[in-house]
Amino acid sequence: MDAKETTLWSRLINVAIKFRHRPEVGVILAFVVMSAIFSILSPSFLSLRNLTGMFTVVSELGIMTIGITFIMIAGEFDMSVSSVYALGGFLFVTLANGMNSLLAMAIVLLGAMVIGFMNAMVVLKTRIPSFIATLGMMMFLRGMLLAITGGKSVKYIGDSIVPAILSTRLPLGFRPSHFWFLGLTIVFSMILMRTRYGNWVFATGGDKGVARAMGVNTDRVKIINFMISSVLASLAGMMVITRFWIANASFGQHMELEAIAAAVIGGTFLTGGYGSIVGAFFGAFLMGTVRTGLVMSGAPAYWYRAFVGAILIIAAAINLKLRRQEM
Amino acid sequence: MQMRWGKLTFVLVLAGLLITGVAAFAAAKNYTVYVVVHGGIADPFWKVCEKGAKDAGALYPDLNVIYTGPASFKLEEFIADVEAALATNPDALVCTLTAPEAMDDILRPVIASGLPVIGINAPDLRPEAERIPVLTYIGMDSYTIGVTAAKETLKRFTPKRAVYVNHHPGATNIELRGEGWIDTMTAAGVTAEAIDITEDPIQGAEIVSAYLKAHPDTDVLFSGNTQRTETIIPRLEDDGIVVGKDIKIAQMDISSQILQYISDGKVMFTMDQQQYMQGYLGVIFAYLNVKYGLAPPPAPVSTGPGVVTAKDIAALTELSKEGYR
Amino acid sequence: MGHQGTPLVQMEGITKRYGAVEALTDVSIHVDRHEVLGLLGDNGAGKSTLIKVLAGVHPPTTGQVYFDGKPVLLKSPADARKMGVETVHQALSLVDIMTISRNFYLGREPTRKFGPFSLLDTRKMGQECRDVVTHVGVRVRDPNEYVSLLSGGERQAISIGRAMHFGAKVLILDEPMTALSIKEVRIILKEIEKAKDEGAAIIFITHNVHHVYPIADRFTILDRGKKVCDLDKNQASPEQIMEIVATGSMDSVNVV
Repeated sequence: MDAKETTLWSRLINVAIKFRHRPEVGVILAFVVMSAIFSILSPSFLSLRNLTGMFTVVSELGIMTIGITFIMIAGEFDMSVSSVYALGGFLFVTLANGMNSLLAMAIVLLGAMVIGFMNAMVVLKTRIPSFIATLGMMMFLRGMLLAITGGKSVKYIGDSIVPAILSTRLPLGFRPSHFWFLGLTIVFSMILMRTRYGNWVFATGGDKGVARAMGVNTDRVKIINFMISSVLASLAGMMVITRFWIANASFGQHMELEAIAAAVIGGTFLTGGYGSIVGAFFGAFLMGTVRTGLVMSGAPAYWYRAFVGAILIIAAAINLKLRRQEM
Repeated sequence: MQMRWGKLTFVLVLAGLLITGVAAFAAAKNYTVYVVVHGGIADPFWKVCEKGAKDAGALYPDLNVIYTGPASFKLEEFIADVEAALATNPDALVCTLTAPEAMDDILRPVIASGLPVIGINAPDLRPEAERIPVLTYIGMDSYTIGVTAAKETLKRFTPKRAVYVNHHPGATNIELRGEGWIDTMTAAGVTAEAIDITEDPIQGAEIVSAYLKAHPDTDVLFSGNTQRTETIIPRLEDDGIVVGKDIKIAQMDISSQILQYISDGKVMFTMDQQQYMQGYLGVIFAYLNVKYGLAPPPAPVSTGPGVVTAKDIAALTELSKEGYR
Repeated sequence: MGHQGTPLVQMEGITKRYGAVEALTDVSIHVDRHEVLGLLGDNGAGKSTLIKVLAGVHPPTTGQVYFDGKPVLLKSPADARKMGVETVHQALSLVDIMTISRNFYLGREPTRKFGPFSLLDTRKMGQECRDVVTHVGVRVRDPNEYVSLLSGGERQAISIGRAMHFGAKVLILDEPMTALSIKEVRIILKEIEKAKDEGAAIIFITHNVHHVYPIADRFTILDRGKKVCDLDKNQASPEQIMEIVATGSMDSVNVV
């Protein structure tokens, strides 16, 4: 081997070794393996039609997962995301049926920011654990939505501007939501890993006392992250509405648990201070893939949930083992 | 030690999935018909429909029926399941038309490209010109269900206040039943409304109990789901309410327990939509269309509602136990 | 050790009340550059409370803090940090679950501009951090290792090194020797010496004089919120100082 070859080879090995330490390794491997298995069991699994179909569901879950990952790394939970998702969708339809849809979307995003801010205030002022506080918010918002709608669906009859931005099908079966998901993953991953703010997020979740002692405004970090979580959840809610053309109070129930599962599968710790947005990206893919793969393989329908549960436990355990090796 | 452990679990998952796959392959035949229902598939009502679909599939050696749906009713999951089914390029699709507006985008293109699609159980009740052009629809008119329930009730007595309990918020057909009930009752001068009892049987029972406390003049309740009624009646009896006297129950669908309730006088009557036939005929029509190009009878192929009262119980009890009714 | 002119830090007449409880009563201390002051007292004497005033965590009820003879108002830890006050508290200095380099720059991250965005200067973070950490005697393969892999002594050394690297003028060490092995204690003492040589004014808080005696120049002893005495090193032995701390008075001790 001449000198150039050795360096390239050893460089590749170096990259592989460094890559092993990243939180996303486990979930990416799992995703690849799972996709391989499903494509063997069902030849049309890798068809463009199916990939774009899965990408849609994954994008909606994934955008919510990005937000929840961000707040989890900061050491808090946001269980209210599923209700903000449903409420955001409903509010959007109600408003957009009577005004410019862009304006409606802006109002919904603003409203979500307010809800996120309220979540943060309750947690910071009352010192109730965020899991409980946001659980309460989740039930409150969901209940309010059920009361307002009486369980009835609301049809979308607004203009097609926001649907075109969010969900309307593009050539080859792709949708704008796919690109939103990709883009938001890149943006938030950069923020988390490559900015000062990201360092503060890690510190706030890793050890709030130390972070404050070093001058980080942990309160502000939490407020911002709660707001981000709600805004992204409402965005996802508007995406599903502009795809189904109806809004219903029952949308998104239990989705907060799916999002948390996706985050954990992607390498984020429940206890805070450690995690990955790229991991969340693949975690959402894993969650979205499994169900479809099982349907397409003709597997007994009653086993879906058990499978997803088993995968969650295995993935979380493997991630933890991998991290323990280097911490 | 750690790596071995990780490898072991990986192998286990792999094995599990391969077994599933082998099972699927073993069943692979010439024609694959996907039956996707809005569920929850664990609900005994849907088990009857599933039996119908599977029994039909067993009739022909070259017919493979894959029956699926969400474990408990969830619109987004149901739609994702339909999309997954379509992505396998099946020979035909039989599905409930639970949310027609949301299913427009998905079904119209495949119908246009020639895939046989048959609707069952939940109809598309928009104006004829707007409906999804399925080959046919097998089931009931949801609005009529509500009307029939009300008429049957009014035959027996004139209530002061009537309530409909919606167990699938978001399902258009379930909402329409409520509308049929309310419209007919209101026309007869009875105060009527619908309440949402969520997907959760326990929570739903609590909601009904609370409603009756808030509106003690309510004397008839129309329930669209057997499993829900089976949690509601015990809950109300817990409150000291004499079910069948203080409050009368109009029911939809059959189960062994419901038949028992009718026998005991707690439920006035129930209505049968013969969901076994929905699954059975759905599969048969789809298969005959795919294989021989035979066109099924036009929509709606009505499977009910047949009113079931105490005199019918003897005949039905055994069949209900076996899963046919 | 005597000092020329005004000491770098003076705290005059500090009283701190919490409702009806008086945690500090009219306490005055001072410490100068190149000097180590041992702040001693039993648990509950008020050492931490006093130091929190200097670190800007809470203001005194009455009293005044002086820097270089000038009165200052410390409204927040940020104010204190700007004046060059750094606190090293073993439990509160490093985040276990983050890497060494992220910890090192926590709150003071260097950035580079990429177009309109300010991103972390990771190259600088890696290089500089490795230099400082090696300088304080901690052998680290990669600044991207997690802090959880370090021993207590290594963490303390890095914390002190960090404080000095970012220009600490006043270094407050709060019980720095807790749970350290004898070898590690020696290493930390060396680091503190280095900091002293570099000109820092060091306040070493402990309730065990043996931790601080080797490098201290002076001692201030507190008891139940009040100052018992100021002593130069050559005025008392470690045992005598311990006696004062234990009894809370100078009565039973004969100092020089």
